[in-house]
Amino acid sequence: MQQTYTVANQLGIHVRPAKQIVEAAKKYPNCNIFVEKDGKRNSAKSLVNVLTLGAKHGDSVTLITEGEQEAEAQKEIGSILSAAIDGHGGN
Amino acid sequence: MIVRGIAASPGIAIGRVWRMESEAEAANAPANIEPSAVESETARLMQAIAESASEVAALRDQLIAKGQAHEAEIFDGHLMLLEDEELLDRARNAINDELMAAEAAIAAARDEIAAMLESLDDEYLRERAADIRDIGGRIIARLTGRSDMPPAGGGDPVIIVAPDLTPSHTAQLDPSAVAGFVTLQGGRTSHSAIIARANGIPAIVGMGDALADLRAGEVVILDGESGELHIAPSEIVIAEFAARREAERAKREGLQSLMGLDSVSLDGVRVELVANIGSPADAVSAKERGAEGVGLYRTEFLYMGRDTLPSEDEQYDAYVSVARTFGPDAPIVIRTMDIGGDKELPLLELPKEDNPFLGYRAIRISLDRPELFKTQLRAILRASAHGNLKIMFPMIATLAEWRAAKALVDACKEELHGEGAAFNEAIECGIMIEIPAAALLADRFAKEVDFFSIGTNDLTQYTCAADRMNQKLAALNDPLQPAVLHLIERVIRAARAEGKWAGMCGEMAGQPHAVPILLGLGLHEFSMSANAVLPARGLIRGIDQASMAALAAEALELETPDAIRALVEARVPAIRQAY
Repeated sequence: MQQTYTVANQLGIHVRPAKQIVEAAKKYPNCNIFVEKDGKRNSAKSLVNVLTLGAKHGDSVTLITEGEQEAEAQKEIGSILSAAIDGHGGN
Repeated sequence: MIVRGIAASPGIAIGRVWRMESEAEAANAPANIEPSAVESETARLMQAIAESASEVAALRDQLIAKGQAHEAEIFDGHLMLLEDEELLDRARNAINDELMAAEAAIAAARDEIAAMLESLDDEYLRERAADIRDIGGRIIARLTGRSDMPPAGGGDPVIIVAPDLTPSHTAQLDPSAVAGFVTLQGGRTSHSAIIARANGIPAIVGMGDALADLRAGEVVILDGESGELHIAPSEIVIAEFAARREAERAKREGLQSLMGLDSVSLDGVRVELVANIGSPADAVSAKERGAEGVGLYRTEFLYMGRDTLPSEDEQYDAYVSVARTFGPDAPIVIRTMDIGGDKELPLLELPKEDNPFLGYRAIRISLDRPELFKTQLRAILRASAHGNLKIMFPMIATLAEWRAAKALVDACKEELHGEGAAFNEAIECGIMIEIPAAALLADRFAKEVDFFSIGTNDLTQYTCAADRMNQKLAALNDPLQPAVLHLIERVIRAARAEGKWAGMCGEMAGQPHAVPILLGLGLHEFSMSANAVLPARGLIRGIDQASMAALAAEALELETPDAIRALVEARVPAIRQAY
């Protein structure tokens, strides 16, 4: 399944949100997860790949999840993509 | 010959040049393998990566144990990159498909990924290429079994000259082997510069091509304060710098022993020694210099030198970043923007004024442009969920201004409640006392505000009617002018009578002659340039508040700044040694 999100983080998909995406994606070992922008499709389980997507504030990014728990993965990672700020817990 | 670069980490180092060539690492390794060796070569690579990961984890834990959480975060990122599937896949494919040796394979994968990052149009992400190069180099060093660092215990400490130093290199520098380092690339805020400062290793960065002919083994002097490298210095110059190095070492060791100690007087009165900062990067270096928090965050720098106003999220990120640097409990006083006066902002198209210091500036603009002001207040409030933030309004002259500003804070709180956003409901709001009008009515303000912070630079120029930019008026622009001192006394007394705290964020708060008097007057928070924090702590730990109260009472009776200084010198001889 796939859904398109608008990147709400002012800084775009920077190191901190990218780390969160990779950490979340790795929780689904039997699900193929990709992020796609302007026809470039990268694995969401690699920090390098998520960063080199170069997604900025306001860009449309499509999240593709295929496999076990694809709906859960879609929901969890989608919320990171569309969060206005990093979902950091405390200090 | 003297060559100049960017001063990155203070201190003097004298030693022989040790040149590090970044690409020497893989040069001697065989480039290709036989097809039968693919499996063992891949295993060798995986082994080296696993070893590198435990090395990095150990390095990170060491930094955390040393209280350098900020530096440790750099290596957290490296750990994630070390297990990155893109890097691994590329390296494994290079071994498998192209029969590359593990060293060459990881070098190729590293260079490809670094090039991908460097092609992005985002400066911050481009700099991550350095992280990839760092871990690539580390894995190669593991594979070749060679270290590109000078050996410890191999004679006199050397001065490393390198194209650039990775954060890994810098964090592993052994002071018994390395006296300092010089890099051809890099800036003051590069990771290596930050780590060098935190570890007290003198460094100069960004030397450029000037060192192309510098030979290994030559004696050089590195002055990390001025950013100068002396090549082939004479015996006389070496002796001079050696003496300076000894004097600085003795002083620094004295000051360094004060890191982490309480700022408490001999009779047990504890005060806060905090820093004035203008950016999140300043916060990092302030903490490195012993500051307990921030007494003045000059937020106008967020607005300057740009074409658009900073968004709420951008400001939020900056405030959270400062709070994170100091931790959840440290006080962080955020002054709302103080535009105008000597700080112009072309963006707002403010008309040119004849007397900008007496003009349309600071809170006067903020109250006139509530949409601008509320963006900042909302950002501060939201950031208050992550630390002990406090809001401070600049240039308050009347109670009505304070109340209007406070009402806007309350309105923003209501909005955030409606949006379900987290913030500190009990966030402290205070004012700067820099206009005599506010100082004179301090007792009335004290009933309503949570704190005062005395801005002595402006308070002095307004009280004595002396433009602080005019060198001819320097004698009038002295916060130890008795009239100014009386206003300060009045403000501190008014705060204490209402159980509120009074701080000071002007330069006076860190001046050796003023600190004993201010302690005596009952000042609670001293906010100063970060370099003054440890000397002030040493001073305060050696005097007692009760005697300083008596000293302050006498000082208030004197007629000139010079007489006050002479009194302090006579009573507190320690001020000469503390600074």
